[in-house]
Amino acid sequence: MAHVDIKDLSKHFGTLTVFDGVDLHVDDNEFVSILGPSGCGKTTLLRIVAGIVEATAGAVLVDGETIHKPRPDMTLVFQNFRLLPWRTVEDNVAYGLRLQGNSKAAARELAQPYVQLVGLEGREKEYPYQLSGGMQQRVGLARALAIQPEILLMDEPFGALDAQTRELMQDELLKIWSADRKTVLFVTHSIDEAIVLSDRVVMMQSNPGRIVDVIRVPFDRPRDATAIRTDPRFATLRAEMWALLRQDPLAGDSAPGRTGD
Amino acid sequence: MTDRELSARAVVGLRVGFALVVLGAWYLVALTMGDLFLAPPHAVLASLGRSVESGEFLKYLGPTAYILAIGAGLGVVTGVPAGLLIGRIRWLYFLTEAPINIFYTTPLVALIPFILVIVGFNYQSKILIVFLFTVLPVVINTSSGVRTVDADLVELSRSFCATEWTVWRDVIVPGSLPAIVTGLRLGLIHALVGAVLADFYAGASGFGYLIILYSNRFDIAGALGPVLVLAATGTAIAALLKSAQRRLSPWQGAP
Repeated sequence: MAHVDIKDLSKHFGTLTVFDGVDLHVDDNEFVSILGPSGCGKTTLLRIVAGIVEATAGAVLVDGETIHKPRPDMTLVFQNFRLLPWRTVEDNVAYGLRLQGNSKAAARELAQPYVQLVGLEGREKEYPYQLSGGMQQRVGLARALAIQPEILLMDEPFGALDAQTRELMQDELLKIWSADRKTVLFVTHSIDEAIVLSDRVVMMQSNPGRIVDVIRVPFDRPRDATAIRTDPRFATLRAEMWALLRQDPLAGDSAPGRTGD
Repeated sequence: MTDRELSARAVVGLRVGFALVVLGAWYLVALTMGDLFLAPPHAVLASLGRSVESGEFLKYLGPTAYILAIGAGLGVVTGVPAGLLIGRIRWLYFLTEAPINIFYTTPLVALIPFILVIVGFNYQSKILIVFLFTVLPVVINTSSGVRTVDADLVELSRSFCATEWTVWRDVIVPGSLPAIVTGLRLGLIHALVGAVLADFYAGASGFGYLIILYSNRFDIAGALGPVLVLAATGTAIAALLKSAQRRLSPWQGAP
């Protein structure tokens, strides 16, 4: 149980405004997606929440505590997996546990259920280069879950996977999350993915990055991803979000004199 | 990495074949030009055998092995940590970049007379020469290895609340290991060159001096013996480190 408060957060790189005046509350055990075009600052926002990038102004609070550095109860899943090439599958899954001070053997033992959870039994001794992209991200997910975080931050975790693997991973994440609910902040640029997974979707636009709307997803939990994708409300929601994203013409630098699409 | 995959057998065949061609060419040149110009391989080996038997070989090997062990040892022991620090600490990198490059591009041979004048014609100056030949390739390769470690992995480690020490242990050292081994390989081979040059200049002992002794007597076969041993040593070091690298980094996949 943990909640996140983002308060009037801004980030500038020199004269470039990445995003400005972002306010967001993520409830205990809520699954919130941040959806927006590239360049809207959604990844930077997530990295500030994670405590690995400093904000220019404003604050991020977890359970009322301001974030200055990474927290042990909060963990990131990256788009490019970021497995240690010199460690085996089980040792990659156990990595966070090792950093918490567990011995090698203890960490492996604690990691084992998570290796099973993501379906990688029997491949514990393999190295990342021997795995497909989908399997590598399963390792990344298991590594994040293994430390039993209160908050899971996911930065386009399925963005580097092919369409089919991507849907499979979404189904799997839904299942895992339903069984053990955590507070999740999920960055994506896929509308479908955001709808299938989230309780709420935060819509962002670029130049400068800002929140334009927060849309509640009406589907009940536990969810069946396939059923949702064929539900008529899915199409309506998708169209609504698409319209919001399209308001940002070409996401170019020509912010003044915007004429619409 | 070739255009076409080569079977292990083809690689061995290629190498043995080439060695035979070189050997044949050696014989050809030696036998047509006369032994004042080049001694044939069997004469070199025979001369080497006599040298070993008489105890001369070991007597001259000792001092060279001694300066190599200490000079190259010091070069590695100081070069690797120095390279790691230079690669990781920004200000140290910018501070040392230019001096190291200047020093590296200066032919070290040109500095030997100065070293001898300052330090003297003794073992210390020989060890210093070997050390200088070893340390630069080690430092340069190690630091560039550290600098090319995947920054994403460093960030990953940090996102799990790693300390600087754990980042070193888990990411920076294993990530730069291949470059460190390359540095060791180059450094140790340079060390052999440095040791022979030190013997040449500071004289009176060592393998290099043995080469000069035989050369002055126009005994080409005798002079080539130690050269052959040096070449074999260098090749062995390179092969040994290559296999060590493969064993130390199984994650890099099949060789």
